[in-house]
Amino acid sequence: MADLLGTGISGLLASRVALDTTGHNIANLNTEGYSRQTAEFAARAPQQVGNYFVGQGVDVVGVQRAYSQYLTASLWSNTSSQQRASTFSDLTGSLNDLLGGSNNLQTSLDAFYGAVQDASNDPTSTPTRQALLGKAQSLASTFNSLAQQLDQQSKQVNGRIADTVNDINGLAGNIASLNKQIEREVSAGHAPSDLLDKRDQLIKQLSSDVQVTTSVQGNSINVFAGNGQTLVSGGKSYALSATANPYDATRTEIYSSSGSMISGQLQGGSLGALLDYRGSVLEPAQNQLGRTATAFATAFNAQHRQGMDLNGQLGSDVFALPPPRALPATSNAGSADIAVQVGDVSALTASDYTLRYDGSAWSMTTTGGKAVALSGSGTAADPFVADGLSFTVAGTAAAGDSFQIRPTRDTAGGLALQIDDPTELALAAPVKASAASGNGGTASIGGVSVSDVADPNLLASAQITFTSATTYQVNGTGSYTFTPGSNIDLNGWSLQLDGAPATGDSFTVQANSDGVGDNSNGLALGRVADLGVLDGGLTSAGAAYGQLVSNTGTIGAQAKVNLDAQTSLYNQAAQSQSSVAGVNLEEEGANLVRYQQSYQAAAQVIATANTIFDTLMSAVRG
Amino acid sequence: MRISTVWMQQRSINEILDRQSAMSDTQLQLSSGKRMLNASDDPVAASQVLNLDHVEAANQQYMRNADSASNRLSLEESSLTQFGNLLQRVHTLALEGANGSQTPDDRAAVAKELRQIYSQMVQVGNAKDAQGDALFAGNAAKTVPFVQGAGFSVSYQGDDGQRMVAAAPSIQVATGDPGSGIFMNVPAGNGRFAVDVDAANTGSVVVGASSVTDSGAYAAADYDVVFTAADTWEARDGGGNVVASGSYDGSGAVAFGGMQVQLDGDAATGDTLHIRAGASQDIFSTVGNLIDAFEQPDSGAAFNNQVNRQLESVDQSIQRVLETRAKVGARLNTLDQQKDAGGDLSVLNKGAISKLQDVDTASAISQLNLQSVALQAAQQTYVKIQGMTLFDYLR
Repeated sequence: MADLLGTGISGLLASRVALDTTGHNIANLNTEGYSRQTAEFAARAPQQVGNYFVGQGVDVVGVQRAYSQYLTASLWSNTSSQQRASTFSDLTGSLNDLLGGSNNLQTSLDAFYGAVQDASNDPTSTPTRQALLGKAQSLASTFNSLAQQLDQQSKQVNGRIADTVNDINGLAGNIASLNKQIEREVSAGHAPSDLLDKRDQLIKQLSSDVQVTTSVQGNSINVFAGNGQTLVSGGKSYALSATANPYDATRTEIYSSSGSMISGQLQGGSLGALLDYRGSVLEPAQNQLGRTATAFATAFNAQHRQGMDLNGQLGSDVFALPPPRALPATSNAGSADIAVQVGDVSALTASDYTLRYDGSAWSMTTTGGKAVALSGSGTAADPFVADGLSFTVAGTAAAGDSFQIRPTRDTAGGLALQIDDPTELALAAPVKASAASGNGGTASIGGVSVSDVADPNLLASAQITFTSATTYQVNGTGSYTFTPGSNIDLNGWSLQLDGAPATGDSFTVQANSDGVGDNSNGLALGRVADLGVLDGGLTSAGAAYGQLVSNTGTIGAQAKVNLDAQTSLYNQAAQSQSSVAGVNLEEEGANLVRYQQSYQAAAQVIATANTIFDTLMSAVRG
Repeated sequence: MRISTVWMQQRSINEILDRQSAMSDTQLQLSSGKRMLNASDDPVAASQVLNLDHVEAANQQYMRNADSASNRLSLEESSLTQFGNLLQRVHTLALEGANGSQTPDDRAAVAKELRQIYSQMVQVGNAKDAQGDALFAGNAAKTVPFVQGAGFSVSYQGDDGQRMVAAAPSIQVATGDPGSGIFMNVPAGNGRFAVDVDAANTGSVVVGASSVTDSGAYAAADYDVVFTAADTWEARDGGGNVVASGSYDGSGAVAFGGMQVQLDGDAATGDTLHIRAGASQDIFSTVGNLIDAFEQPDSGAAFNNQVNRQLESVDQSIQRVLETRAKVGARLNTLDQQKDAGGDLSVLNKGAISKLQDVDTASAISQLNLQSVALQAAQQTYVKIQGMTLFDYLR
């Protein structure tokens, strides 16, 4: 006989479970990563009575977790992209603030060259020269402090990379242990919905650190990063390590548990952003700043050496530049040492290079992988030449040895002013020319310029006497041909004569020792501001800095646009996932009403069963 | 479509946050006056602004250079004016003093005043600018250019350099002239040649004005004009060859080879005139010679010849000073023009920078108003929607 009581009780219990589940959903409204649960009902197998079947009630067959694997995986992937865009945008934003801030290099350069021109207007004035030295010092300080701040950022980025790797390892470990737990629960016959939610949440956190791919294996989820690097496999996790770059101990690289360097393979999430930013924005910016410093100091020093200071001495270098660095790999077995110098500033690039020895020959690539042709043999007399640099190898290298070459990374930080005595500023031309007062011809001095300041006889006095209209003697000896209209080149200078000299005319070229009012080198120094130094003579130092600011600005603008796009994609993905798994209070409220009613109704069924029993009992008692 | 409660809230909150952030950006723009807060807001404009700042800084510097040059050139001009006045005075004195009616006392008075003028000239020649640099020493700015030696001779200690100033990217203007060119290498005679009377002449020929009458026929060379008789003369070149001859009757011109020389007075046989081409004489020697001439007691032909010669040189000097003043004036004009052009360029540059960089206050304020309305709307709808829940109606 069908058991009305049993049916009623089953209804009661089922409603009770449903109410409990609804209550659980409502309580977990704000739980991060919670998937709503629904009680599943199934009618009990009916009992056959004669020709028909009578139902037996209801059973709760399970509490179903609302879940879509596809939407959840899409959410993870969008989390990585959005987090990457956000981190990258923050990093480029702070770089832009740094470059465009009050520490503006362009303003310092303009102030410095303005002081050069002021000193050219008053070459004998010591206070004006002192002011020029002051501006030179503040320009060097601007370079130094910009480089320092970039360096600071670099340290922070490297630190964050290490921290993120730690975070990844921790999460991977937790996911692995959850995999084990879930495996246990399922084999014990339970449905661990909350553990599943927790594992999904951990994978989402991991996605925000680095982009991962997942594969479901039974009840475990295996997690891979980068190019198939296993992080979690079943109940085991494999830790990544963040240790020093083989060339530079301050640069953090990521190694897999098997020991191979995988920094270049990890993408997405904040780790991908940090690695991308470091390699494609920050380090090139440091190099470009150094390249600007190298171009500026080299061009200014070269022009300064062409002049004469107040003490009658030829100009020396105004700015000191640290030389490019060659960093040996920690695994180098040989004893070779590489010395690098900048040979040709116009060919200098903003790349770093790797120089390798395979046992018989040296080869060079950029750190990006592009091969660079090397000429020369590496000795001091015939150094290797490539991209404006020249290398000399000292000692013996073993096969497999390699060096990282950084031509301009440290130059902006190491730029220093070398002159502190204002009289040592070389604003005058080294030589002067004068015509003798008795000259009869129509020749006059057009000017004298220095063609080779290293000539040992540059400052020696030379008297040119014309023995005829087309021949002349120097200091009374020799006989040289003179072509009217062309210059007389001697001792490293070049004299221009306008007009035609007569026999007996004489001109003297000598050191400009008393010419303290001469400002011709000062004027030339002022022109260095816009002189093309880099890129084969096309780009001035100021223009190179302008390119750096402009590039960084463009990258920053793109990063912002990208962030907006990724954020809206992420919002869509989160909303889609939440529309399946998220709790809606109205829905749960309606469910509460529904299950409460079914509970009341089931209770009423039990009461009715009781009344039937009472009726039967009273009928039997008679 | 189903939407979870959390996401309903999140969406509204996101909207509010976005509006707030946009309003905050606009507020920052208004308070700083700049449209771009950093280069990533508008990379192209940021790069243009950087370039324009550089061009404007250079422009301002050129204007400062022009000011400094103008100061120096003005000082030079006033010194040259002073010198020119002194020369005019010398000219007047010499002319008056050479008049036959003057007594030796008169001539002595002239000599005294000439001595004073001489030392004033040396002073003006050694004038300094505001920095204490000599104006007329070329580039040897700390050297005193004119040093008096024995008698009235002055030697030039400076050099021949000129200091230039950059008035514009491709314009350089000289800010000085070496004293050697203005005061020392002044052409003697009429500027092309000078005619001197031989000291051994016995006649009373006085050489007056001389000039080049035919530039085509004139060949710059030294000649001697010798009187073979009191009324005949011969012109001989450097090798002693006779190139011309003519007659002379006590007053008239000797002309040959494109040259003409006025003579006055009786010639004696053997009297010689030396014609020197391209000779030069410094102004100090000229005044010194005049002083010597006026301090001599007699006033014969030799005196007249000497005064005539020196007066020619004084004329040449006046000419040279005027030419230099004209050059200085032209340079000052160029600098003024450059300053004006620089001022105009500055206005253009600043306008361009402002257009790129500055915020349009009116449109930013109206944008701020719009954004604040939108924010209010978002906030109010949020409150309204959150207030609607089924649980309000479940008892």
